[in-house]
Amino acid sequence: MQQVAVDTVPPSAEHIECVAKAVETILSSLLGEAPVRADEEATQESLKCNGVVGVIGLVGDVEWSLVVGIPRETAPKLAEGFTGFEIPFESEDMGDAIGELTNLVAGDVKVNLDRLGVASEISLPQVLRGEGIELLRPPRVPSVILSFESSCGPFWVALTTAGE
Amino acid sequence: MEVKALVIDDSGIMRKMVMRALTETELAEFEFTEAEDGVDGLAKFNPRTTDIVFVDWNMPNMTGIDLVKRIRGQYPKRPVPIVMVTTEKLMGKVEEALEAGADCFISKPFTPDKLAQVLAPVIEQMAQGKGKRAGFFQRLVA
Repeated sequence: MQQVAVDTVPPSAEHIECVAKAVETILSSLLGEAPVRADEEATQESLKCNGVVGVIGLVGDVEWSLVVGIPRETAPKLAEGFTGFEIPFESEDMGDAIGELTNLVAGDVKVNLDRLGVASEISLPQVLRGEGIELLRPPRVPSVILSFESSCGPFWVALTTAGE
Repeated sequence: MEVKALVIDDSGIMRKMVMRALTETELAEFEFTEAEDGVDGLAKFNPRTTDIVFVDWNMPNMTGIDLVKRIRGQYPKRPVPIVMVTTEKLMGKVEEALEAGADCFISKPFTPDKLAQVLAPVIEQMAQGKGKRAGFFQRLVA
């Protein structure tokens, strides 16, 4: 199979800040208080998720994938805080709610990137739900994990970058 | 005043949130029809019976902006107000939506208060019977 060469560029502090600020803006708008970002980088072990994972792409001047990992204990609280409806973990609406949340975060990342002169468009989100979901980050492609603590519980956001 | 609203979003949760927020504005008695993408929305849109359309931008099958263009192209004499409710926030996108024929642009996430603020003049104009006139609505953005 033909290998596709990808120019890999580590996410800059500015780009990471675009993502962190988007998460803080959207979550504080939805929940009334901003989540607190952990200082330490998440370990591979902590990326094993029993819960829900939202995935979305940003393309244009950048080629990014953004992954939002939400543990099972956090997900229903976050979904209810966001929508105002009780959403059981097993319900179909859970995927819908976390997909929309992922979409909202990506929409705000896009705005923050635009302020830096970086043009991008976002894809439709996809959502995974299950036990033992492990984020296997592609080798040789730079990525960063941001961990957050919110009133609904912990969650993380992974940014994988190429291009720009 | 009764208002028949067509709410188009590929997210069922988001449709529920829009409908609840609209009801909470108490601007009118809303009767809702839901559609899950642009194709479904176009099929359910009736220029004689639909009073107002709320539409997302990024949807599968047919995007919101394409739907706005299709409705404006097919029914130029019956310009029903169209409100875009979307994660898009950039001014270029707002301008694109308004140029395509949308009347209002509301970015997600939104609150009922924000929705009410934008919609109040539109509903007022509808109540006065002036609603379905091309270019009549204020170009409102929130």
